[in-house]
Amino acid sequence: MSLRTIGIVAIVVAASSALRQDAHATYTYWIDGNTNYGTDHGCGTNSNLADDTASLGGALSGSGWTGARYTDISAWPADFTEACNSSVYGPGIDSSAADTQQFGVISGHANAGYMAFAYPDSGMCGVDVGTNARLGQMAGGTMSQMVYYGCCTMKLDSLATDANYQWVYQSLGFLDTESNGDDDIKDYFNGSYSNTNKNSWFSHLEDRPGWWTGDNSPIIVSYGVNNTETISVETYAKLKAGVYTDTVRSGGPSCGNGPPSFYYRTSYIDHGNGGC
Amino acid sequence: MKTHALLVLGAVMTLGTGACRNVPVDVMAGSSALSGPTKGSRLGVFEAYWPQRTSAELSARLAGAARGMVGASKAEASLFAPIVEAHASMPDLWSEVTTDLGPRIHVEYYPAKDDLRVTNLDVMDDLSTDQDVGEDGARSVAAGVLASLAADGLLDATHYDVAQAEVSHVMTGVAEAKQQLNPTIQQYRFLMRRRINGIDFMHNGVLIAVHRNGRPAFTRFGGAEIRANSVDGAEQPIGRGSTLAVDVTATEVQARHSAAFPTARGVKSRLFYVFPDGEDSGMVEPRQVVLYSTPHTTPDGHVAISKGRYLAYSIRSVAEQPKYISGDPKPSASADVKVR
Repeated sequence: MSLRTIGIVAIVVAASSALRQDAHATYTYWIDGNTNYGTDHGCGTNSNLADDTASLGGALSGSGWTGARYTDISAWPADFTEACNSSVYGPGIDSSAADTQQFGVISGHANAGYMAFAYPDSGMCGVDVGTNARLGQMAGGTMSQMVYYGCCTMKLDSLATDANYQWVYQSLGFLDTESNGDDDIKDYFNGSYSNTNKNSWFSHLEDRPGWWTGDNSPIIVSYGVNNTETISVETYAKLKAGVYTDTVRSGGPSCGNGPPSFYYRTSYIDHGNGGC
Repeated sequence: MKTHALLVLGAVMTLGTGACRNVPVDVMAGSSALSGPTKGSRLGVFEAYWPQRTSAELSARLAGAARGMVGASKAEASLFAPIVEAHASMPDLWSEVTTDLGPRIHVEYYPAKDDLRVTNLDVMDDLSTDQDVGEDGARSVAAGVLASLAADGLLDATHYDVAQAEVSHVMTGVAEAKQQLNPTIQQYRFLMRRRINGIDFMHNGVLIAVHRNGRPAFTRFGGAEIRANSVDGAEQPIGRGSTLAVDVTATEVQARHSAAFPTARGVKSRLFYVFPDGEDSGMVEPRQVVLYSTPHTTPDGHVAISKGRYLAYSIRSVAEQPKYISGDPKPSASADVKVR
């Protein structure tokens, strides 16, 4: 058994055990962070990134959450790729990785509906969200919130073909070429205890503390069976406080099928979609 | 041709020598503030710092922001003092909700940056679209909030120009799965950076968001301060402050940046007073700050765009190397490890 498999089994066992004891005692996360783009590892080169999920991982652990944070050579596109049928979705392992957890984050260079990884794995250099990922459904089927932490990831005209194929309650990302500090997503997480996810995302991802550039266009999409449920999700979901965090969105599609009818509600700060 | 509106001779005290000298400082106005200063212009270099607020000051600022937003006469500093005291020992971001004023008021504060955010959650979470005061109506509301903050002595309104605020919107829309969204304006947001002789300071500002129904939803204000005296409408550097002579234009910076990053996307170039790379205190001078991203193509044919980076170019000498604001990122050094 590989180190990685051992780690995943430990996470799943810990999470399952916690759920048996108290459904609200422990929340779970999976983070893949990409930083080392400066050297071509087989996926091309671009500027390096700071490790902008490290403090988030610390905050999650410090708050009693369990999960995993992998970076660079240990971060694999397969982690977020659907595992139920590799001929349809690619060589995915999400049923033993990201989609066994409630809160997911991929950080790195990106584009509309695409997250680029710094290192190749299983022949993949990234996650094409609409093609590869089926989070919160099919195999795994656990995630309730997904953050696409990169440029242009949730450009409006990509939602219908990418983020909306995930069966989560909320998807978070950007309309434009975003720029973020090392702690912004940690501050988002901490802010989602006393405030809603939407308000915290807006407050912490439009600009950095002490900066007044007004450049980022953060977006959050809330899902439901009807308009009423989308309003409820947008108005009440609080990640750190546990509101909608461990609630699995019901009625998702089975392996190989498209989603049944649903509604999606977008809210975003519009500073344009420059660079996308 | 120089287009600056005002040329002022100001007395500058240099701390190191204690000597006084008369130094001309140009004030940028109108088109010159947008197109950048011309060569030979003299601009101030200021000592800047992040204010450390006492509990009493912070309570007053919270109360003032709340008053500006909800107009509640009972929004006194004493109401917020227990909240401030409860978080007094926290050096990092903290937040709290109070309902003592009636509406749910969310307060958030970054002590290190004196960055205060106050949200009226009842307004923020109001998704109704049946009333729209329009941008002009919302701007009047924002002006009222700004005036309230100024009346309480919490900021100097002459540093923030609501008429020239950068306007953005919170947009919202809902649709069935395969339908197209038709987003509508939910909030009008007015960003006013603090202006130093007509040039925006990147680290100080006011942001006021007004719901389409005309009620203030969010106020953010604070940031770094500079040491200056006001002389005949111009802010003159004091302390370790000095002046610089402009020798690099915005056009020259643009050409230099384009040559260095020919594939850059999302380029936005602005003149800001800004703290230099990796420093959070010290001297601020105007620099041409360029936000940009770079693309790369993956082996599977996708084009990935880098996260945006801010590169600050000197306008005093082309020989000075540009500096990345917030440093030059280093790859991850620690995380969980897995192998196949």
